[in-house]
Amino acid sequence: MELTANRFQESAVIALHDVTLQTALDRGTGNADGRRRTVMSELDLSQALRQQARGARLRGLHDLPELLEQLEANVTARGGHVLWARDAAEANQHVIDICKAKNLKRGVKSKSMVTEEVGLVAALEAAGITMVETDLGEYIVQINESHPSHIVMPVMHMTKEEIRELFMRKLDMPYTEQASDMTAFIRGILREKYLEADFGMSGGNFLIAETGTVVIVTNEGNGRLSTSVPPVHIAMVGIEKVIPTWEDFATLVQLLPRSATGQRMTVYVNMFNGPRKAHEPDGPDEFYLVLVDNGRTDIYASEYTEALACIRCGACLNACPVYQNVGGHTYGWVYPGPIGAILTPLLKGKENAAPLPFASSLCGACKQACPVDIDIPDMLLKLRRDLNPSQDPLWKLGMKAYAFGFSHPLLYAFGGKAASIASTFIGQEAADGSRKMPALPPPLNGWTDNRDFPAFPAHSFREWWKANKGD
Amino acid sequence: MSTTARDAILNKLRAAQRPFENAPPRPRMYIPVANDLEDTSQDALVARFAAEMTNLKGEPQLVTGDDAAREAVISALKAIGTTSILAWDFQHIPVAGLREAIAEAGIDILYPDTTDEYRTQMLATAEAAGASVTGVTAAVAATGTMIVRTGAGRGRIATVLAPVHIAVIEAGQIVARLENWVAAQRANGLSDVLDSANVCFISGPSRTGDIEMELILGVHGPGRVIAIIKQ
Ligand code: SF4
Repeated sequence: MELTANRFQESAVIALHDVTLQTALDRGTGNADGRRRTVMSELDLSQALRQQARGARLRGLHDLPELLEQLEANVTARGGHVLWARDAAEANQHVIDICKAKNLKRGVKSKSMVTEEVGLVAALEAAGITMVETDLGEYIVQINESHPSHIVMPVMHMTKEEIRELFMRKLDMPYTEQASDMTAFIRGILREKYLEADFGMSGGNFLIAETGTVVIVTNEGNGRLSTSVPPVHIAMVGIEKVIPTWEDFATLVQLLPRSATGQRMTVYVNMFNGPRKAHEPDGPDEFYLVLVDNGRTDIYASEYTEALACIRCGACLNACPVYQNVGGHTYGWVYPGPIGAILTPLLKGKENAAPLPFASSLCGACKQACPVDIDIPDMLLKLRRDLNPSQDPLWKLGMKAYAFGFSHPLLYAFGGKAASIASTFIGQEAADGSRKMPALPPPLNGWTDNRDFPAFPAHSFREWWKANKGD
Repeated sequence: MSTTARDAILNKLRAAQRPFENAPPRPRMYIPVANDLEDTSQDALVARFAAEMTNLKGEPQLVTGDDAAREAVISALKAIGTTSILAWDFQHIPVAGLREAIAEAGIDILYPDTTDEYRTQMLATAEAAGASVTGVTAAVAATGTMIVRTGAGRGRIATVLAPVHIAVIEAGQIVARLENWVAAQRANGLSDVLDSANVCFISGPSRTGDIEMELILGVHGPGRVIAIIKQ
């Protein structure tokens, strides 16, 4: 996929004026974020569970080389093959080599971010191998010759009307008002593809080291069909996806769907331990696992290792006020939203994605939504510093003041109170009776140029808390 | 070439300073995710499983005894009106006399097997089946999840290819939470998991929300999942 992250600002302006996109984004992000909040809030211990999930990922990263070796030994012991790829070209070549050696020409694929990242489908096509995306959203993207705009919901940017028009134009679908008819039509097309496929491809949401298990989660069942019907299964997975144990898996596999779509469980959680066993009646005869580096070892060795803990739930996208307005394509590469603003510069070069770390209000909604509590704002700040070394002293000072303020409750309390006093004096009464701040001084004027900034409340949160909840 | 890539990657990781030295150690007791199951009596678990499954647009049906279970399967098949079904080997479906009853109803039973040179024909025939009948390995009350693992006579295709999946569950197979099932696997040294090339958690019918997040069932997998819970 072409990298256009440096055109963030232009793309954002276009996105903001695209009425159809704005409608689609409003529906999509609003829905998904609301559902996540609902199912997370039903857990009494949601914060402790997030830390438990985080612990599982951090232990996985701490012991990454050993766990990868353990994983490899276990996959091999069950008759699977493990292949390692330093970069995108090597990853794609592994798949092409398997296809050539076994004369595999037609593949079906379930959704996977890493295969997007390495441009697998295009590479296979160039080698004369067809690959059909089977996730409904990914299939729409494929026939539209476009790219997914969301990690979990690939066509969040499209309305039903646009999708119908596409199906009618490209696939001669008869006109229908119903999304269910459209879905049934695609089901029929893809059924044939599964049955005639020579091989199935998947990504991997988790790799459980202690048993060499590759896990994929899908709601549609396309992942299960792609890995059950064809005689060969190739899974391509980033090296960072390893977790130590099944207990770790039990926590993560439940927090992932809660955060992603507000489901308590994904419909199909598929766990693979190598190829079909001799006594089993179906399943692939051959199983390959392609482990992809493609920049991850560099991240591992940097101060941004925490970015590798991501489980790609997409919650930070849905919660992000910037993503909600500009959509996924604006970020200009495979990974959009807050986590994309970190991964794209790290994987593609900071200078090639310079605007992304600045495309955030640092409001912290992403960190709060993240099931593994990744400190996205902190990494965005560090990336800003890296991109703007002249501001390094200023940045350090800022961080120090920030840290000092937070570690000194009195000062923090005073800050909140000072803001509310100040806004009582400079705030202006708006027509609806609410108080608004006038244009703020630089550097905050960029913000108030286009919108009203609500006045700070007359009482700080701490005061309110003391009065209402505190003891 | 592949060996060099392997070594390059592992060496690079080893050369890096270990991240997260302070990562929390492996908990001795994991907090279960669903913590709202106080009553774990069998009746309560059956009720919770059925409620969760209904929420997921699955169709749980409680029956008592083999005769009622058999009747439930047959009448579901008749209502679907199919002439052929996919199935697991009936020794893994906990209803006495079920195979005979299905045959008597004039329904052909196909055991999907793709291991020989007839796989293409087998798949074409299997695709035409209107339903499938299987058992389960276990079930999870908290999330309405059925767990199936592969083995002799227990394939994957019978659980995913047909438009309706009928699964017979014995009440005793239902555990409270996913964590309880994992604990049981741990207790047997994870040997069940390792004996199967595939383990799958199935929670309700196949669904998509890709078109404007409108819920559509049966996009690829079964659009109906009927669980006959036998007490
Ligand atoms: S950073 Fe966190 S919230 Fe964002 S996709 Fe990754 S795991 Fe989900």
